[in-house]
Amino acid sequence: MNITLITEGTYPQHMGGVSVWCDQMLTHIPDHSFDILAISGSGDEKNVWKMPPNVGRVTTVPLWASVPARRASRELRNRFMPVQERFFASLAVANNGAGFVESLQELAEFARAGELTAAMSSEDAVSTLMAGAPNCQERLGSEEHELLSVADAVDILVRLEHSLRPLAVAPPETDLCHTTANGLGTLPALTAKWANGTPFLLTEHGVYLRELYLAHPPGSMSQLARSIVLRFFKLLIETAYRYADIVAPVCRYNGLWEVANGTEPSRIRPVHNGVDPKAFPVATAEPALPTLVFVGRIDPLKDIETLLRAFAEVRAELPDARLRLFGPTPEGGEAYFDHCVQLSTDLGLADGAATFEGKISPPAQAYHAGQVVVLTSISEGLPYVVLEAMASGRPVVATDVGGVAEAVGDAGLLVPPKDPSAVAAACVTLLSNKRKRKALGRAARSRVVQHFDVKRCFDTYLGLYEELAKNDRETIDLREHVEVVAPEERVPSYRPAALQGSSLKVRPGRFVKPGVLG
Amino acid sequence: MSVEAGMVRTTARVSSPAPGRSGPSPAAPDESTGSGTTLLANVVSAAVDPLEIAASLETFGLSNAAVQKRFSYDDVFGLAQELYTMAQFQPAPAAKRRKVRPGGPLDLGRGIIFAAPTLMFTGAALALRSSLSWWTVPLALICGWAFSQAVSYIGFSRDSWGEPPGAAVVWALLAALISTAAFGLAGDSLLGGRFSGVLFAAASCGFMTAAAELVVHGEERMIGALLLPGAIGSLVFVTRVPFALPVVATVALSAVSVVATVLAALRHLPARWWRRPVLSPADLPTAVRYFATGLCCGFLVGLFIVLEPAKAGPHSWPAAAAYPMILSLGAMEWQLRSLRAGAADASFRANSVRQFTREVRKRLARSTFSYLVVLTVMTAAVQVLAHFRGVVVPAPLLAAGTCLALAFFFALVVSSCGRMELVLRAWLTGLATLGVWALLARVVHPSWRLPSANFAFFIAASVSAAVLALVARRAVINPFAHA
Repeated sequence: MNITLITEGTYPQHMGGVSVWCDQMLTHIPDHSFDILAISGSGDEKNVWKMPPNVGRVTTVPLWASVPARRASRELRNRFMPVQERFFASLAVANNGAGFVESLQELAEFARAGELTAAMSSEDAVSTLMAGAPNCQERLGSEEHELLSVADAVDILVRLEHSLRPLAVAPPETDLCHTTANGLGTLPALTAKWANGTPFLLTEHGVYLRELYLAHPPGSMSQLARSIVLRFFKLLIETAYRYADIVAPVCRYNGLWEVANGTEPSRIRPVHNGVDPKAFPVATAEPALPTLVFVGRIDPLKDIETLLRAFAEVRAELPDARLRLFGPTPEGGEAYFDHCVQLSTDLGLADGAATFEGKISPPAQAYHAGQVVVLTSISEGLPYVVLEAMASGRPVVATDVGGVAEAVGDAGLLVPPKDPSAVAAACVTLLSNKRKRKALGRAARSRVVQHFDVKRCFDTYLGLYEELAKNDRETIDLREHVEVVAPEERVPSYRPAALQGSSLKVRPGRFVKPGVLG
Repeated sequence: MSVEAGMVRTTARVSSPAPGRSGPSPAAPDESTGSGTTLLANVVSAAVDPLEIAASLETFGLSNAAVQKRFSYDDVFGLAQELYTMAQFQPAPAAKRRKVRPGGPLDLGRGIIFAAPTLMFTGAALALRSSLSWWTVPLALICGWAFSQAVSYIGFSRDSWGEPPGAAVVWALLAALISTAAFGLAGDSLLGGRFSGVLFAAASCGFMTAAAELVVHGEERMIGALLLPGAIGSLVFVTRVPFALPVVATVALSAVSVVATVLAALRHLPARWWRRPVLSPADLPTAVRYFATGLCCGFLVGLFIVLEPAKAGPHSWPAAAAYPMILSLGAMEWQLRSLRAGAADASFRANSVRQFTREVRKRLARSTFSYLVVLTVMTAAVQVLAHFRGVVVPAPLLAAGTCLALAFFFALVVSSCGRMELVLRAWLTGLATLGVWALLARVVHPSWRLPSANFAFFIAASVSAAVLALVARRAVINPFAHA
């Protein structure tokens, strides 16, 4: 069986939890061959993982690589006009996502012909988007907030054009597409599904949509631009949930979001991540000083600020305490790293109490370096850090987000996110009570061996692969169902705000519950 | 799970505050809780849909279990829906947009720095007059301009990706020196000349390439400082004020400036400088375009030196025809920056493409007019200077210089809009005009009384300027050019 594994911003060019999972899967399922389709940033990224022998082709789809500037000819602009009108109309709230899938199929044809970049970078595209933009937000404010500026329209089009680049990939000729996240990586899987009926398995580590909202907070763009960009992603994510044969979140908690976005519960099969207990031997000794350990990327999602503030409170109780942070700073995250270092200084932790020590290898060393492992993330799937720490026999203090509670169970302490005092209290409890620490460490190791063994995890995936391979294939060409309408009748709700009657505007409260779109 | 590739790049590109990085500044723990509540309130009032509120609630510890226990809702989505319906919509003000710096007196300073090499090399060329052939300076201009364009494009492109921009400089310097030396030696054997002429051409080319690297790093002031020995030496040599500087000293001072500039550029070599710089698939063709454009520019400016001297008498001063352009480089930069800043501003204010187009065209006309005024003043100043020196600047050449200056201004506008291929085509059109004249005058009908070479140069420069003006008018209204 040949499987196309589709990643976004992770394996094989970056380290991190999802990449670890990919590497584990490729090595634990040696009897099937894999092709990798990696969606990356600039395309200049180097592979940082050694490929196992069952990996065949590795294709990179750079979202932000510069392409030769080409202007859309008049013929192309004319041909693209109805397509872009339908696409932007499908983003209108009143249309409830109708026509979105058909638009993606049409856009894919332009992308594969190498015409999408030029077509979406024209003045026509700007005008069409500006005309229809007011229909893309649910809540209406003053007139000022219902108008898109030219700069905003360009910003949106640039984001959308780059986001749609994976559509340029020919539908993978494979037995199964397996994406490691929802989002842009699902585009090739969807085109393969539509063209060849290729089965589609969607694994979700963190919830893509949730992290997308967190990455685009109010104020990061104009309100209307944010509405449009987030609406596009929401519709794409819902489409992927709808067409995936099986959605396999890494924890049951993620399943709640998947159901909220229209996934049939019967297609959701949580598969917990696993670790190899042999790779994380139980720590036999403890450091002399009370030491907290953090392992992970220096990233806003890990909420290092809360960790540092909590540690400052711990130091007030235990002046000898140390905090050791192990993990790389991802590309583009240097400003956040600097902010954390500055915060550490401002909190009086720069005297060696809190140290940023970068990546460590093997990772087991990091867990052995402290008595307690702390994770203060604001969003997680089922974090490897927690499983690895538990396998190493270290008690964990972690925020109750995503599937963390499923991993920790009663073998660690859970605290609310963004609550430095709660984190500090839990850390002080464990650092000052050796007996409790030891008991939790033993329970943690035992829990990992019982429930989170890597072999169990990938045996489950093997079963899912075999199940999907047995299914009959059915190609789906939704364009056959597109109703052809005269231009003047096309998408009646899709008109400039100034031309619309107030009845077409959607008022707050008329929200359509997620899951019923399309 | 990582923030995905698309999100990372988007954040990097649009310079909007990255997620979490615009959060509360370092504060005491209790303060952070307060600002957290405010953050949550902001999300609720500006959420684009209830799920956004749900995402935010979870990050504040209101997971499903907490919501069920504390608020008796079925799940976090139920509470989010309720908040979404109840809360009054209050869009958050968008983050401050990136301001594009408008032009100003600072650009005049940059113009002086860009004009200073002309002074230095003029002095050095006059000092070495007996050693230089007619083709030496044009060769230096053509090669130097081409390599400096390619180096600066690759440097800026790498820099925009967070890569060390200096990776290309050593290769470009080597290529520039080797190719200039090779052409120089070929010129020596075919057209006659001396080895010192080859050295002069290679040094000039190396200087231009190195200076381009320093411009990429924003080190214009350093270029200015490094140019001082050569420029002052040349000025003293030419004016003989306050004393007559010997030829050797003039050349030595220029050499000091050149070597220092090259060494300064080599400071930016990355650790593994021998590795070929990583270029994206689009970088190479674009760099080639910049290179070809540099060839055209070098060739056209070189014509000021090549066309007239053979016939020029002691009362003719043909090289002065290029001075208005060189002296107005600062004004060119000033007006270009003002236009870019104005266009960016218009794109934020305009609510329709038509409004944007109208505004940007108005600004282009204003910038062109302003530059034209400066150019006219400079041209008049050169004429006055020539009058006082008792020499004549050939009128067709002066007109060609003015047209070429305008063409350079429009070329800058078009290339700043990312349409280098159009700039290249416009230069090639001008050169083709010149080619047609040469073909008719020298091959097809040598007996015809065709306009002089100077006049043909003026026509070619006019054609390029006209084509570029039309192209600029079109290119500048593309909103994507100002993103």
